[in-house]
Formats: sequence, C-alpha cells, structure tokens
Amino acid sequence: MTRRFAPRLALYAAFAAASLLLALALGRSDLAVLGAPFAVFVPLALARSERAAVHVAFSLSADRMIEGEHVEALLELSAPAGAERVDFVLALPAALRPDPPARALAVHLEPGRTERFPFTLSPASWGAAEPGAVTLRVHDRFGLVYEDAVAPSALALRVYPRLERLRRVAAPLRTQPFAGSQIARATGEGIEFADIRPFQFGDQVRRINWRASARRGELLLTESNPERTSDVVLLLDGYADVRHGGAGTLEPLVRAAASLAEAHLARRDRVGVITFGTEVSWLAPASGDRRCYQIVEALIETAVVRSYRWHNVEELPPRTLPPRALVLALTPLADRRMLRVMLHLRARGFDVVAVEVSPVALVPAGRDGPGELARRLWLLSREALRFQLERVGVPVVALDERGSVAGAVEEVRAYRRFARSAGG
Amino acid sequence: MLAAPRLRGLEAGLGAAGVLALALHLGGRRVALAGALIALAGELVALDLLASRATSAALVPCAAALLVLAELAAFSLSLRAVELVAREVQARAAARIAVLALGAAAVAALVLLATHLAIGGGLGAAALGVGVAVALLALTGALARAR
Repeated sequence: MTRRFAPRLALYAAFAAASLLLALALGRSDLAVLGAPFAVFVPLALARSERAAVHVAFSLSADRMIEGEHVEALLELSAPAGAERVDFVLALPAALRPDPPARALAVHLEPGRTERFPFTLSPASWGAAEPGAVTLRVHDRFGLVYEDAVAPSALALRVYPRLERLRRVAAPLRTQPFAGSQIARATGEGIEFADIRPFQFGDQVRRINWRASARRGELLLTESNPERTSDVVLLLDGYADVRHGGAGTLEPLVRAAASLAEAHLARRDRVGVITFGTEVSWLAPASGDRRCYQIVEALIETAVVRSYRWHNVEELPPRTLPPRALVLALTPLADRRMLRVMLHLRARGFDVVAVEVSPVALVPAGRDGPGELARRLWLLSREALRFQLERVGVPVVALDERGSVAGAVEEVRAYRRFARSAGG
Repeated sequence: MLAAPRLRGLEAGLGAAGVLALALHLGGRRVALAGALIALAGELVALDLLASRATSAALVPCAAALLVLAELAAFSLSLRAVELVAREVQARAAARIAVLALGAAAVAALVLLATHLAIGGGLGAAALGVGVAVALLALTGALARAR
C-alpha cells in the first residue's frame, strides 16, 4: 500500500501558518481567529489517523467456460478494523465484459462486515483472461491521509472457443497403416467395396465373389478399401492478425482450428498443431479425447506478436510432421513467411490445404483515389498469393463470413474430386 | 490606513477573488483552494475592519464556515474519482463536516476569548504566541513525517 497525504493537508497547514504569522506581523488577532481551526485540525487529524487494512477477495463461479457463456463473479471487501471510506474500481481486461459495467465505487466498511458486489462476466472471445485487479484508495477518518493499493486477482479464466460440429472433414490423400475411420485409397482388408478383379494365386478364397464368378465363368475376387487413420497437422499462422474495430482474423482462425481438430479426433485421426509466429510451438500428432483438450488449451494461448523473424520447417522435430500427413494451414494470407512455409511443405511432398481466414472485410474501402488504388493492388497481391499456392497443388479455401468451416471443408472435397478427374 | 470606500472595494475584490479561486478548485485546480481560503479570510478581515475596526464575535462562525467550505469543496472534488457513492459514505461525511464545524467554532471562540485577555508583559506575550504558532507548525510537520 502506498500512503499519501491529501493535497488539502499542505494547503490547510500553509493557510494556518500564513494566517497566524500575518496576525503576529500585522497585529490583527482576527486573522488568528480565522486560521486557528485549521491549525488545530491538521495535527489533530494526523494524530488520529490510523492505517486500515482492507481485504479484497475475488471469486468466480467457474474458471473454465465456453465462448458465449457467462460466469458469475463476486468481489468482497472487508476491513477487520473498519474503513471510513474505500474508493475502488475493478480493472478488467478488454476481453471481459462485466454486467453491470465496472464503475468506481465509494463505500464505508464497518468492522468485521464484508461488502459483497456480485456481477456477471461475459468474455468477448476465447482466450486465457486474467479477471483483472482491484484498484483501491482507502481514506482515513478525516480524509487527510489515504492509501493506494492494487489487489491483483490470482484467478485465471479460460474461455474455450465454441466449436462448430463438422459432419464431414477433408479427406487426406494418403492414410496411415493403422485402423481408423478414413477409407483408404489403396485396396486391402476392409468392408468398403472397391473393385472386382480376377483371382490370382495367393488370394484368400473367402474373398472370391461367387456371384460374379458364376456370371463371368472365371474366378473373380472382391477388392475392398481398408479403413485407416490419417495424420492431420493444423498449421496456424501466428505471423499476422488483421484487426479492425475489435474484430480480427485470429479469433475465427483459432475457432476453425479447434473445430477441425475436434472433428478429426472424433474420426480417430491423429491430430497435431504447429504455430508459426514469433516463436514456433507444436504439439506432435496424437489421438484421443485428451489430445483434443490439449489442443484447445494450446490454441487459446495463441497470440500474435509482431516480429520480423523467419522460421524454417527444419526447426521442427521430425515427429511433428509425420510422412503422409494432411497439413491444414489456417492463415489470413497476410504474411509471406507463412506462404514460404506452405510452399516448403508442399515441396517436401506433404498434402497441404490452405484454409484462408479472409481479412478483406476487415480492411475498409479506400477513402480517396490513391486509397482505393492501394486496396485494389492489395487484393490483386492476395490473388497472386493464392495462384502461387494453387499452381503447386495447394487448394486455397476460405471460411465464410460467419467463420464457418463446413463450407471450406466441402470446398476442399470438391477440389479433391476435381483434381482426381483432371489427373485422369 | 485605508479609507472606508477603498476598504470596501478591497473587500469586494477579495470576495470575488475567493469565489473565483473556489470555482477554480472545484474545476480541478486543487491548489486554488489555498487561494480561496486566503482571499475569503482577507475579505472577512476587511469586513470586520469596516464594521468595528476591532475583532468581533462574528468571526467565530466565519472561521467555522471557512473550514466547512474547504472540507465541502475537497469532498466534492474527491467524488469526481468515483461514479457511485454509498449513502453511508455521504451521511458520514456530512456528520464529520458538521462535527468539524462545531469544533472549528469552539477553537475560534477560544482564540477570540484569548485575544480579549489582558496579558501583561507585551513582548513576552508576543514571543509566547510566536512560540505556540511555531510549535504547532512543527507538530504538524512531525506528525506528517511520522505518518
């Protein structure tokens, strides 16, 4: 606590001194009469001034919640010896909206009584938010001395992104050798019909298609596609976050990543996350519910900090990018460093899909001729980036205006169908 | 010595300056409170001079009013930092200021009584007064440092 004197204390002392000295100098006792109350009040108030210990307690009804929900918060103030007047305000991060709005209050605390201030907190978006700190000013009995303090809250509120339930996911071009839900393109042991071919020496007799064999007069065999798992790596662009008026590209990007992770994990795929930004962070691919929580926990820590550092894919441990993994790169396509990473991965033979979180709606139209020209040039440069990716076989799909991933997933599937037929 | 018409002009000027300084204080210039107190005190002294040219009992409520004025101004300024004030805080502040007014009146009356006492010794009494004033200021300074 920082102890301070009220500004009027010095003024009162100066006035008392001036009036008493002038009374003596001018021989006017009326000046002494006017200054005497001040001369007595100041030392009396200082002598009677006592330190008041104020305890601040802050509690939340839950420390974890999903975007769109709200949490009940309770701020409690107490002073064992009482406090004449306590001015306080709860400073909250911008991401948390209190209801009623946080206002500076002045209260009196009786000894042993606890003042309670309940309110509701609604997070504006996902993320790990500190509930803030309470800034206090404790006045003494006469208001001539006060103490300033900041009581930080040790509680942390974790807000998870609201996930979009995806009915279908982007199928990877290649699967892993383990049993899963993804129908492999190769033929093998499975239940999904693939083809009928002539029987060859060494084939299992139980796979002979007797009905087709009777019709054709030769032994034919049913081939099937096995169900396999796939490895999916979510590549997050932490280089750029285009923001305007409170909205940005990072929030929908993380929401989309979490939704994709959940959908792939539900299909028993192994999912990993790599974030390129100021630092490179990763979670190696793994499957299961636990990995889903780990991914969401890692995603809500995502933040974009401006930096000029370049990162290479070589910095990553090999197990974070398993062979034949599907790489879903979520990016606003606003930084060339991410483009380089995607091109590099594609060059190494990875199946890369760019999911674009378009920042175009966040960039206002130019106000004048040169402004509009700059915007058009920027849009053209984005088109050029997309073309650069598509030329090397990286489909670029975009989230819709609401940030929904389902449309983007269908776009990838359509692209895959088109690519197959074009390839013959 | 100033003549009565000029003294009246001085009194009016000091009064206006006091009100202006008080308005400045309430406008956010905290230091202006000292100017307001000095100007208003000067005005009261001039008024006293005009009335009787001797210290009158009317100064007692005036002294209390000065302190009340300063406390009310400071309290109203302190409320600017907060948006909601509990009724209890307001009630206690009002009670405190009322007690202060009574205390100030009592102190002013005591000093006024003391000024009417016939103390022999002339220079000795003046030296005692100076000593008391200096001791009071020293006590204030010591208490402020201790706190």
